[in-house]
Amino acid sequence: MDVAKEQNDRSEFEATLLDAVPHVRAFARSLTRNREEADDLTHDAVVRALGAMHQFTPGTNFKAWIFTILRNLFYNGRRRQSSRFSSIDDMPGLEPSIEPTQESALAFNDFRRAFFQLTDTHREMLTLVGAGGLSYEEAAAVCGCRVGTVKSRVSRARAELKDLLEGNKLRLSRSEMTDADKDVLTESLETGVDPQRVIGRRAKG
Amino acid sequence: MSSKEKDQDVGIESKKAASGDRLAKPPKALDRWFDEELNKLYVDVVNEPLPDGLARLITQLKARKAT
Repeated sequence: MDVAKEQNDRSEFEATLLDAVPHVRAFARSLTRNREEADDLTHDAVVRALGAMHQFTPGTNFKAWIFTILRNLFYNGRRRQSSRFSSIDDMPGLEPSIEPTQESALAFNDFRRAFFQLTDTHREMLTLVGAGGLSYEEAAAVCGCRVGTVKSRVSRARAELKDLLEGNKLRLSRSEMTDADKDVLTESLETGVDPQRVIGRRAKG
Repeated sequence: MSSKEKDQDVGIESKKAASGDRLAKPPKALDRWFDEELNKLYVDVVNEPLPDGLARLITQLKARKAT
């Protein structure tokens, strides 16, 4: 292969990759709900992408391609992990990082809480199709499912968001937790079982 | 359930919501609000400075491009 062309292709690929990094990080954050884990995942995805340059078809959606790499790394890593959070302190920060009006700060904080309470599938779908800017077809390719499945997941995700916000089902921030809440959360962290199921189990006795 | 009944339900439920008004919106407006908030969440992270490890990786990539 022409060396100059190969160098040019590589250069172009790396430029596209550099531009995509902040977006990869945003998708990683929505998946992991943990800042450090998201950054580690992003780092791994970038390294993996660099090694897999020849598998990318120029002219196709680069973001979708690297999102697929990231997603596969995330779920493969999850299968190896026994718990969703390594400690209570790993739960995503609930404070907004912007300074809006008081009213919109409350709304945004509630939305952020609700979003991070969604299931993995719902969070990833809303991120890919919504803010991530992928089409349904591209999101389907990233997730390895049908377009119809993407549409129904997006619809269910929105319904779940509405239910969380409307039904006042938002989880407490750490500062609002009682000792009983912290106990439930500790068990959840140790066993990898969702806190709501822990509560359900305890209620059954 | 008819769309009128759905709208009535939304109207009733809006009085219960802690910060009320946003959940009283009709479905399309609510979807738009979700999209705006999703976008804020996403862009928030996009605009964050990169952590050291990632920044170093990016610097190495940029240095390779320059040579």
